[in-house]
Amino acid sequence: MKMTEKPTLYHWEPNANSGKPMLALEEKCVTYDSVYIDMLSFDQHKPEYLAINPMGTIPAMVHEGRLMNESTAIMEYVDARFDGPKLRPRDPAKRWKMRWWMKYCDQYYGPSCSMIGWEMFVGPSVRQRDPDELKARIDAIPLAERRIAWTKAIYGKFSAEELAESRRRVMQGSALLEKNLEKNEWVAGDEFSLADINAFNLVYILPHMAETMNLPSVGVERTPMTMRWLKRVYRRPTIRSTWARSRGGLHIDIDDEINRDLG
Amino acid sequence: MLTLHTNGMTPGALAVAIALEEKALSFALAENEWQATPAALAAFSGADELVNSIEGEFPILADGDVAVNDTFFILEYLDDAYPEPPLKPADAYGQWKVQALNRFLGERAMPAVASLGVAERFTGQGIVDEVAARFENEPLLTPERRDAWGMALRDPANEEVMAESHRKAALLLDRIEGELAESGGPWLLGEGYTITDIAAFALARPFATGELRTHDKEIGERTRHWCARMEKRAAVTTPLQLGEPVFLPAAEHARWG
Repeated sequence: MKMTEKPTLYHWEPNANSGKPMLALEEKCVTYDSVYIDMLSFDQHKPEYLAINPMGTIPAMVHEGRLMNESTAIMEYVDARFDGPKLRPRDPAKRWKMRWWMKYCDQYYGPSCSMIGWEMFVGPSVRQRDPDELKARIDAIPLAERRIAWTKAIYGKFSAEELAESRRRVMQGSALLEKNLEKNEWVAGDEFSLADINAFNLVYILPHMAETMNLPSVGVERTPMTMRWLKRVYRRPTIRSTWARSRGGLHIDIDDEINRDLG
Repeated sequence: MLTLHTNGMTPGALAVAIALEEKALSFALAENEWQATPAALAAFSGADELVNSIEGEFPILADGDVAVNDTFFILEYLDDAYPEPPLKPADAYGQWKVQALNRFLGERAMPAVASLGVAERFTGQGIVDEVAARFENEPLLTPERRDAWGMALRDPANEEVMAESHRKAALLLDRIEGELAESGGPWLLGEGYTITDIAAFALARPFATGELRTHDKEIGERTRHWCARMEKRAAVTTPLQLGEPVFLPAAEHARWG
């Protein structure tokens, strides 16, 4: 397949939703123009970015003059459009399993993890700014859902019940993933796929949240197969090259993770 | 041998039946009473993905030894496993559009349509506590699904859920009208008929027939004509005769953002 131009990816730190297309592009050996959008400075809601992506969401990708958003759909585009290793199983049932797990991560496991992270990290990191500036930033968010999300995070409006429910769901999601990895080397079966990229971008942080956030969802004792799977993913050279685009927000040493004692 | 397992002809079940007909695949219909949903799901309890569905318990499509769920992913599965006639664009960008639209339909539109339909169906029906309690205490169901059934049966017209559902149903009708305007029709993505037409039709049809209504939002002209075109397809006519449209609790409304 002939590539006519490099894609341009607009992204934040190489984790969560931004990390998904970044890692997919690296796995496909696709050279791309990387544009770092600083989410904590609300770059994604500024006019220059809204001129590119009127929804004001990240990540977004422009290729051959077309704008694409929705990180999981972008990953499927990357696999379909570019040469390189196949990141989706050919077998229809395995491909269905890959998509099932990506949805589970995108709409159940991930948002619950994200709510806790925003409460603990994103909210406090921007809350101290000038109140009028913050209000103006929130008012500039195009999507109603995102305005609600930012408002809750910035002003610490998640209820105790909401946070407790998110913690329960992270524990539940981690247990289900562990059960799946007891039977499968990779999330969708016997081959590395987009589902591994998707899950890794939310699960990698969980062993580090066990103590800092009192959330023992993923660890050597509770989820040994998930820890082994994480190690397999960390060993892929693409993690190193993708994380090299971080501006200091990850604070995890890849070598430490590869050498972690799993007992 | 293909078998479509349902607990009624919900929008999801209708969409799968249409896709099967479009592919000219013969299939058996295994329809369960909605009250028997947990018992029917128990037949699939060996598959974690089938009992941990975000969307709801059914439809499930059994294809020999394979069983798959989640309406949009069943449609994708059918197109992957039975490529002719194709129901997805051949190009990567077209496939991206299908998947981005299906994400919207599954996450935003389907919960809204289901909630509005559940309110129409169950309000004032005098569902006895015993039925609700059976769902709420069913160990095979996930806690979210127990809650979804409990709320549907005990408080089907919950004010907050209704307000959110009307808002999202309006987004659905706006989105379909907008896509048809942008693509130029006759189908959502333009000249090519896709699984997105099937999925969107199953959700929008209740508003075209008047079964459901949204506050302050009429169905657009383009959408009305598109629905009429859909209804004329032979592969749509047959599934519409399989049973009365049914609404049951579907995926929960997004908790955050």
